[in-house]
Amino acid sequence: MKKLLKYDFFYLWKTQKFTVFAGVFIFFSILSPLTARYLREILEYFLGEEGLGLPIPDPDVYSAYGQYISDMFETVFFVILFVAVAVFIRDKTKGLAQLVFSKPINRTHYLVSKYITFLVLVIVATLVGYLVFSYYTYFLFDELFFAKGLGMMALFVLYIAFISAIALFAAVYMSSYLTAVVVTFGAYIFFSILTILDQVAVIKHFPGSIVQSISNILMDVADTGDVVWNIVFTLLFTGVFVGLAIHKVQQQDI
Amino acid sequence: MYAIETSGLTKQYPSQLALDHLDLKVKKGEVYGFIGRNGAGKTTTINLILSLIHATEGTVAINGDTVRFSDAAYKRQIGFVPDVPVFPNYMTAAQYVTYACEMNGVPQADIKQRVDDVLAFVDLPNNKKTIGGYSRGMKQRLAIAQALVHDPNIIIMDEPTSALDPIGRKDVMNIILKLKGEKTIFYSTHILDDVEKVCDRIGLLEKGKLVLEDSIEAIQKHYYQNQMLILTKEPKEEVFELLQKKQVKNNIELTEQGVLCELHGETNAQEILEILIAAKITIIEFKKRNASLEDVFVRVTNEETA
Repeated sequence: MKKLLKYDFFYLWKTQKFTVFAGVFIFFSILSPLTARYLREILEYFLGEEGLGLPIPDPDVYSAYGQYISDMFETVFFVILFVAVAVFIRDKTKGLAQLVFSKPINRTHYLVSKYITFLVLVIVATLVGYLVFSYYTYFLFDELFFAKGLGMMALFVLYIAFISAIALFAAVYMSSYLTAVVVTFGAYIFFSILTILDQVAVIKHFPGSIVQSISNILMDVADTGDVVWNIVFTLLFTGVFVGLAIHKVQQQDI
Repeated sequence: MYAIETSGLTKQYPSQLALDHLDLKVKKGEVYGFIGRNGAGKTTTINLILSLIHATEGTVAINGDTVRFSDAAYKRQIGFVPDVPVFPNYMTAAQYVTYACEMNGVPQADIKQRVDDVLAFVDLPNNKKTIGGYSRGMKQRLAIAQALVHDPNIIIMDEPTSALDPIGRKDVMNIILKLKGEKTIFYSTHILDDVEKVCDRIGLLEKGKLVLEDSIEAIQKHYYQNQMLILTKEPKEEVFELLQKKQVKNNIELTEQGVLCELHGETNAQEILEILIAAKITIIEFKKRNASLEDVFVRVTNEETA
């Protein structure tokens, strides 16, 4: 397993994925607080003195965090989704799998190694991005919620772990990159739609609610019990998707 | 005990029976030529031996041990060379061969030496050029290097020369010749010239069935020198008709060169010659013809199809 991890990290490193991911995260960690800080000026520049005709609240550190979270779950999230599927399905679609599995490689270890290395990539990029974001937010607003923000980032990583598990599952079951992306995206939409049913006891803790949990933590209105159940259910679903992927790959014809 | 043994190995795809109760026995240390036309089931057999696909029925044994699909450890005894090897383009040859070493459990202390040796053996430079810039021939030699680096006792080659130019093909054949006698080589191909050069025994696969299995010597003895080529001054069609009229029951064939007559039949060469002389046919040549493995291949596969 250690040897597989070594070569999966080597692949991410040699194909510049660490650099690209860190670059994307850093870009938004600078852009988000900047957008929050100068939103009024930006709108005035584009729409004139009258702006939207609506009062725009004074920018504060909450708006910087809000903007960052919003960017992470919109743009950055989709970059991660597309790259995750590409990383997991690559051996199959590029024709590398035949030579890989002609060697004495444990298929479970093979899959878990890919999943772990990808998560490490996301964790490193998230941490780097968050450190830059914290520095820049403090620079612009003279205020920071470092520990709380770290907790929010941990929930973001958990959500990415869940989406990556779906991507892994789709990459194992599907034969093309496109169908695997469609399945992963479909599952993401499905779990997001389920958040509408937030009155149903169990469903309100499903993975899609992580975004709400993060917002609640930011605004200091989070119910600890709800957040814990949210984490438990997300881990559970993540485990199920990884487990299904492992079960399939062990039986799969290459 | 055989290096590779399959018993009743069958692979049924939804619309096609790819392999039909294949009983294959590859002796230790021999070069076994596994021949057959495209789609005969050669690659399916190799994929089953390597547990890349599930068998519908039957078993595979490697060095006497029956293989289970979930068991990967037995693959340490095998080195596999695919027909069109695909490597990660960002790696160098040395990096990929090192990867093959590590996946096969080669002790860390031995890896560097092994990598250097095996790259030298296949005549690949150990430099910083990435595999993405390699030619087909270089990739094929790298495929052989990664298959040899853990010193397996069985090498499985799936049409290793099929997509190579003549020089690349010659290089690969030379490597196989160097390995002959040291390893058991299971060599799948449809290039019969190559088989004649390097193989000890051959198995001919047709529509998923093994229709012929024998040593090259036995095949040569049985098939190669049992034809008589008859060249005459008279038109070959006339001679062909004459032999048919005289009820020569041997297999007679009209070819571009002349009339080809099987010698394994009721009428022997002397009697055929006498028939021709009696009919006042002017004989230019009456000689034994050395058939090629290709002729054997065509004949046996045609018999099967018929």
